[in-house]
Amino acid sequence: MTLLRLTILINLLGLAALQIGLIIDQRLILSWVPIGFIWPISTAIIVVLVVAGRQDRQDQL
Amino acid sequence: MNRWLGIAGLGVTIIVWGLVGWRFAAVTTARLGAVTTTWTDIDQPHPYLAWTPGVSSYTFETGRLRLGAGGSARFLVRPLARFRTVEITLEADVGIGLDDEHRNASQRQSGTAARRVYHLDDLVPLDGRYRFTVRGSTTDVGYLRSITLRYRR
Repeated sequence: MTLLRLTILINLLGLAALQIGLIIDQRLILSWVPIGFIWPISTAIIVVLVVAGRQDRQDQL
Repeated sequence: MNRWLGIAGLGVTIIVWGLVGWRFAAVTTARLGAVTTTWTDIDQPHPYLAWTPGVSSYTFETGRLRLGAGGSARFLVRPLARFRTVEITLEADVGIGLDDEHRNASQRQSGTAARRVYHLDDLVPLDGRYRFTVRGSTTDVGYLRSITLRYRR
């Protein structure tokens, strides 16, 4: 597994875990996780790495 | 290029999710944690425990609390932020129990130790503290050795 894929996977799993936590106990999660800070950063990392990975594959072709 | 991007992305990811994990661990520990304090020297003031004024049926004797036969003593317990339940454990050299004042019932254990878990809302509030009553043996005179409080969430 490449570094890009690993990083994307960690971020996706983290966001999924956060979402599940929000469904189970929204008030608790919002009280200790800075969602407004985590969500954009994590999403931006995923988007940038996915785009970079795609670009890399096109270059190889 | 992508290699460095991957390293940078992983670094930021580890920092961001590491912070979330660290915060989660801190909150979980605080939620699951408990505060325990024991009052063995009844003569000395305690930060979480106090006598209620005008209580009868007990006397001080050489720094110890002496419970008369059928006697009782009342204490005030201070609430702690985040903890709404308190487990009270008593040790005495006679049969001892803790009263359920809201239900007008007393529970006297046959042994020399008594333990009971109270939700603070179940205790009688008094000046920002909560009252509980210790009841001694019906027949024997004895001494209270210690009171242990364990605050739980």
